[in-house]
Amino acid sequence: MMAFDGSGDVRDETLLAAYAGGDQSAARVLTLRHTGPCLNLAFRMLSDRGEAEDVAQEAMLRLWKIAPDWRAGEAKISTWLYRVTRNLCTDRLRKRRNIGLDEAPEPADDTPGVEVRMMEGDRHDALQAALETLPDRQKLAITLRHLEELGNPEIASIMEISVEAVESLLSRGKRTLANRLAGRSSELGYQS
Amino acid sequence: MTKNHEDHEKLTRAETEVLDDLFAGLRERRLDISPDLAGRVLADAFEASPAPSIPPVRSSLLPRLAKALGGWRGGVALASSAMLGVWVGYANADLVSGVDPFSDGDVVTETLFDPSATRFDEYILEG
Repeated sequence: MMAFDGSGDVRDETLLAAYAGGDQSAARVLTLRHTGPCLNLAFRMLSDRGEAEDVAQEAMLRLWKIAPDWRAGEAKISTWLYRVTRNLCTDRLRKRRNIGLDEAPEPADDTPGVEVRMMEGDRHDALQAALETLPDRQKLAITLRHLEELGNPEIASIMEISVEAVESLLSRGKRTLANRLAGRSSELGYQS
Repeated sequence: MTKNHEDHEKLTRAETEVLDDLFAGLRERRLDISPDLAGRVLADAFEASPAPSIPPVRSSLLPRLAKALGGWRGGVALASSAMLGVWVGYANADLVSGVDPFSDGDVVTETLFDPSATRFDEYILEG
């Protein structure tokens, strides 16, 4: 039985098939490759490391369980994992708010009274704080596009919406961020 | 979506540059997988691991039987003995026809390998 050392560029599907065949060294490589992206997406969505770790573990567990039935060529494993992570995060956010996200109205871009927590001299904290004020779907689209650096078609697959809908979410999300950060340019180290 | 609304959503170059710079900085902030999380994920993997699809290799009956009989030499000896038994049964049936199966086995042995058993000698010489 072939052992995988994690340094090669063996395809994910090959590794998953090997794991399904009983090769546990393949599981180690898949764990190293995919737990991190799941963890980071969950953390950016939930802003809680403990919850993000639970989500990442659950997403990977679902991968292990589906391994024997994985149909090669139908989806990228990374895309599938992002989708599972997104769904798990959505469930947790719903439980937090105790309302359905689909029914919840997205706040207007310039909702008065929404406080953006900007820490003096830390631009990244300012952006993170602004991101946390976005509606969940805008936040997810921007996170996948600008922080995970995925293409719009893959984001559309993860979010199960059209590419046009992704573009709209990105546009509105960035507009909102720009508005949130407006007036802070000099504070953030930028010239107006 | 109206054109005015599209114009309203369009970012200026300055806004785009600021956001791009902020995104680049935030991209660098990534959580590492803790040893505890990696251990939990791998423990799940091992627990959920499907049974190996390839069953353990089992040797077939004949090789195992041959091994039990002492390899090829044992097999040859067994085959020779069997052929001799068959020959005795068909060609020299009269030599043992008078043997009482309940008598002492020595009688049979002496009869079969008695040099005076001429038909056996003739068979060996003539084929």
